[in-house]
Amino acid sequence: MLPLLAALPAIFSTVSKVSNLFGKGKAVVEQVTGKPSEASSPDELQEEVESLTPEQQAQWAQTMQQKIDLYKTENDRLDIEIGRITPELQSKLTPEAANKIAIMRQTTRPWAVRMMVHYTFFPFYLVLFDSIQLTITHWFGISEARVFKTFNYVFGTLTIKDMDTPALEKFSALLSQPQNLTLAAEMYMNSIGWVISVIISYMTLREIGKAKGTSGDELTHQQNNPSGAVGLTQGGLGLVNKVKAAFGKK
Amino acid sequence: MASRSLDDLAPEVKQKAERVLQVCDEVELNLLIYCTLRTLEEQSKLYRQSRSWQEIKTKILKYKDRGFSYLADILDGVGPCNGPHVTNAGPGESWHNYAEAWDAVPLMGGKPAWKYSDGKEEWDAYGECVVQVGMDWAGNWTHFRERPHAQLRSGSNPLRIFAPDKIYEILSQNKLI
Repeated sequence: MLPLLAALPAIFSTVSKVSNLFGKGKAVVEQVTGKPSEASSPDELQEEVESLTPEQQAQWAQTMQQKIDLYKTENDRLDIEIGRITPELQSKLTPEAANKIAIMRQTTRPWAVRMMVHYTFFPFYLVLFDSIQLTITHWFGISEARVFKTFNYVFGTLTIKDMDTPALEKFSALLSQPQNLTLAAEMYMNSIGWVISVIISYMTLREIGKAKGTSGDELTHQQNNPSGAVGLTQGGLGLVNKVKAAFGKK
Repeated sequence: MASRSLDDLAPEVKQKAERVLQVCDEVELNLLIYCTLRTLEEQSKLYRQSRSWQEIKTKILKYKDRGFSYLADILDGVGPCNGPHVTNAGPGESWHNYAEAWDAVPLMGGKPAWKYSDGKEEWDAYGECVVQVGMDWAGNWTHFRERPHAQLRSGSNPLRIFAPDKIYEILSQNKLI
């Protein structure tokens, strides 16, 4: 148990650098102790963990180590998918080029792109939300219930007075006529072009990566040294096979 | 403090533990079994040390309602205990209380490889040993994977799996009650 406890400083160091891991650290504290963590900073989390019993600390450290490993694996995959920028390479770039790359790396993170896709569909989500409200009040006959017209609230009034005009045309007119624009609609219209460009750029980069393939890549350490199930399927004589052989003898 | 002696394990489990250690020795895998038995009394003391009498009373009543009067008596009998909150498990809620489980870690260069990534092959080999001797390896669990843990029977909380009579029978067989 002691060596596991000795690994705690390294775990805290990693947790303090990654906000996502900080959140997971709090969740693991709750998992271990049964009580929600009250830490609002990595330092407080460290104090909280250090106040646990050695057994609980060991359990926390072990679970967190697995989460950190998973995080590292995911980031390695991102490095490979997006393009690895090493400190050596960055040191040879001009500050402007390095900045551009930094921005590209931030904007092409899959989670950011996912959020941008949601952002693109935001007006349709509002329409959907309004429809759900109307459907519920209609189905349950709650005629007195107040329906919030969220789309109108955010983007301005969208009413179909003239049924001869297609709804899509009215929608387009609503967003394209400057006098109709609310502040939110104006912000949305100004940003959507950039958002779509980022999404398209990301997808293009991914397609380029796919087309490039991995034929020239070197094998990783793990691929060179298969273990466990991989070792078995590749016919290697790993420890697992030795164990099986040892049990098979008697 | 939980025991790390194999002699404290139930005879069947001890035999399996020895077999695991023997095979690990054969394949040159260093393994440290660092936790074997935690008695019902020890578990009760740990459970009581951070809880109010009201909480303990509620737990005792729960035990009695579910037919585990003998566990309620043990929890009641250890008396007041002081200390920090260390466990959520009352007496009988861990297989370590039945001498039917152990926790182990592979050693690499004399140091425990607590991280799976530090010794994937060693952890997998240990897991294979546990499975081969007919134990349940918690490294195969999907909900809360705990690679060091090995237990004779499956299920994480014995009290949720077996009826009070069966639990009593297991404890009697293992000479813990």
